Amino acid sequence: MSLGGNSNRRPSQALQLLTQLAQIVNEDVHDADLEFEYSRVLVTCLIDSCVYDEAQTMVKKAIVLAPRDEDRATLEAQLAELHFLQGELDSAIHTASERGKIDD
Amino acid sequence: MIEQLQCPSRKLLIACRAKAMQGHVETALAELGRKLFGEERIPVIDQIALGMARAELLYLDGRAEESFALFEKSIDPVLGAASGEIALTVADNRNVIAMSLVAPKSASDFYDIYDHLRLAGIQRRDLQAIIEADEAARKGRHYESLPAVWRELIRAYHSGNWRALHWASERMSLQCLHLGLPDEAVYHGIVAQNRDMLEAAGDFIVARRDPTLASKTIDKLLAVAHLQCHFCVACYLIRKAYDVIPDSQVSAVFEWLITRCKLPISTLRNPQTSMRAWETLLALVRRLKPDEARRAVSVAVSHEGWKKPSLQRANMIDCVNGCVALINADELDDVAEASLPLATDAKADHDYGHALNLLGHIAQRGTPDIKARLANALYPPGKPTRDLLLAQLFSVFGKKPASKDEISRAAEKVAHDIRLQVQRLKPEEEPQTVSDSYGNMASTKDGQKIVVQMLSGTRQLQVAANERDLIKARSFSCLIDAVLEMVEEPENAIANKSTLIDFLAKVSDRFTKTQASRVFRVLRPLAEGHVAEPSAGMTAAQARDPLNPFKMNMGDPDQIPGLAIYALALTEKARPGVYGREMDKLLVAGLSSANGPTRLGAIIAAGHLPKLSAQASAAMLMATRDHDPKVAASAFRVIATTWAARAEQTDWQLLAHSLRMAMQSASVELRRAAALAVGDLVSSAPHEEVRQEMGSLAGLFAQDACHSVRMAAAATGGQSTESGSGERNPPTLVLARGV
Repeated sequence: MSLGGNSNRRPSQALQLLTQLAQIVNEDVHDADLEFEYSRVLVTCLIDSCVYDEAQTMVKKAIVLAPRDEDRATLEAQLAELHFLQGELDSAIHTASERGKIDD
Repeated sequence: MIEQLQCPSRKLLIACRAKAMQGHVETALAELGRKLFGEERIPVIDQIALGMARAELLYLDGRAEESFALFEKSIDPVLGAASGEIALTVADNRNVIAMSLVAPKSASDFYDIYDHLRLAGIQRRDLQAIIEADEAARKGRHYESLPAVWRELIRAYHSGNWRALHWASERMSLQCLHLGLPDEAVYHGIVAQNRDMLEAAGDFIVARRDPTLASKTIDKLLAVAHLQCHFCVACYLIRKAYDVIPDSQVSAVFEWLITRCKLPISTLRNPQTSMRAWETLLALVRRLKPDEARRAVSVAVSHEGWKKPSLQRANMIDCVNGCVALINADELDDVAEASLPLATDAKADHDYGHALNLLGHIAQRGTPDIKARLANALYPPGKPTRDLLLAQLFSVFGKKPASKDEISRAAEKVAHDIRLQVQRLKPEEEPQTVSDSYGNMASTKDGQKIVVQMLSGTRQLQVAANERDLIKARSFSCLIDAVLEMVEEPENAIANKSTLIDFLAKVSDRFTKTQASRVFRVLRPLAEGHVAEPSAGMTAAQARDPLNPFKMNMGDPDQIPGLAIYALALTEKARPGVYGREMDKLLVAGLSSANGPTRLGAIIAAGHLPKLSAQASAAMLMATRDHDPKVAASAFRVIATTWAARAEQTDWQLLAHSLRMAMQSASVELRRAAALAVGDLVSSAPHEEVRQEMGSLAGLFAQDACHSVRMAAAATGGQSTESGSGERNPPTLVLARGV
């Protein structure tokens, strides 16, 4: 099934499926790459479901798990955008500036 | 588009937008500039996105020309290397600026771009998602609609298309309001630059009456509305919610406004920041501290827009007028000095009435020396006053018209002009012109040409009413005859009749017994609701028809019965017993009318009658629970001042219940009127138990979320005014009645 956020898709259903997968990913299979991929899909799903607090927690978790700088930077940009679109300007600046080297 | 950028560029965009929204636009522009024009090479798409971000910030900060030029300088040279989709996004964004500049071809370009987007299969918005979200919201399933709108918001942001982002932000703002989150609604409404959403959020916090929620919303607004376009739209919330702003935040709002009041004169093409700031400060002026009022006056009188006619000068003048009440009388000398040119050397038609109101207020509050100085400048000795606005202020400045003969002759001239309101002519005849008319309506009936002059004589009638004691009996009679003739005239416009009946009310204390009887004969059918509309022009029902695209309001016939009852009541007051039982019948019928404006007129009329029947008293008490808050508020105003002395014990209990009901009302006007009434009723309560109950109600009103209600509750009995300050109301000129 698709996990995207288009109008004809249901991120809430995807979330249920991901919850079922969580045990397999976290406990049964010890694979860092898979864990990161799982986090990334979960981030997409949480953002599309408009659950802001859970989404930002999961993005932060995924940033820690990110194996490459590029992945980490993408997630940070995504988190900054999330804060901005939510109207949390201080958090947006903080997140965007942490590695973006922007001084006030 | 945004997702294709390098991560540092993506983050820079967010940081710079956020900083600009928080008031650091120059820092943001510099950061973007450094990245764009620095030594590091960045991909073309990043150059375009960062360039557009700079252009957007410039545009949002009122520098549309610079923004437009930036497209040509920074974006066009690299656009050839971009995809067709990105080129269309750039064209669409550039068109936003072109349209704000009213650039030639910008409107036709808009449709060209729209066609190209469709041909390329690019949607600015995901309509299917939005329809589904709307449907879910309509059914109350916000857990479905909110995520759908949120996804659309993210999609719009990532598209880089400004219009898409504005549109999605508007939907998000609406969702937030539905969910009771006005602070979040404000943020999205500001990004969308949507006035309706900001006004709706303002209405929401006023109706909610939750100081914490109001405070959170104002905090959010003050944190994010710094770019000029954002500031302008945010002002609409303040204008709706000024009364519910917590006391602790008024100074912060004042600072936010006064900084923008200092900006140069607004024109039709810029974001009109200065004009919005003055308009909004005007709403807040009653809540300013004296020091803030002094600062506002100082900024106004030294502003370039004060010295020469400008779009915002009327607002600036009204703002200073409001501040005059907050400044000590001995400090008004400089204000008078700076304000006098507004009515003399720097006079402009569109704000002349506002200027005279201000000068009248200064004369009323200032020292005798200031008043004399202003009077001499406005009414030079030996020169007759022909200006009808100035003539309305004779008494304010302690001046009198030259002689009884002169004012009587003027009254006869007014009578002549009033008779010309309706002219029945042969088809080939031209109507006589009338001064002070707002245009005319012509029609043909039974082979006759009928010409109706709209609102002619309004100002002259006001002057005549003010100086009625000086008009000789014969001239006065001539004027009353003309007025009654035109009230009876079936082809006269309703708006004209309203003005004429209002005049009769104002001069009712001069009627002879015969005139009073004649007035009764003419006004009674109107008071009973028999109001016929003229055959020419549009009826009120046609003007209200939502399917009628061409609306012309010629006056509201629903207003006439209440006005007629009011005029008759004032005559009865001046000549007690002249109408007697007949007046009471009209009053009771008016108080129980199905028509709201009639009930309103009857309530105000009751306040002027020396005596009320038991039936009328009961109807007045019931009116405090009228479903129309305006009517109920009027009932409280009248009851507080005239009814209490005659009330029985059970009436007091019923009234206390009405006051408790009013306290729960969403209408600020009703709560304010009830709070004012409590102030008066405490002092007229018949015994201790009632006094204590009224006192405790006053205590509850004193905790209301709205400042004006708290002030009303704090006002002492007998001295209260609408502002609760106990001060005399400043003079207000009759400029014209709205048609």
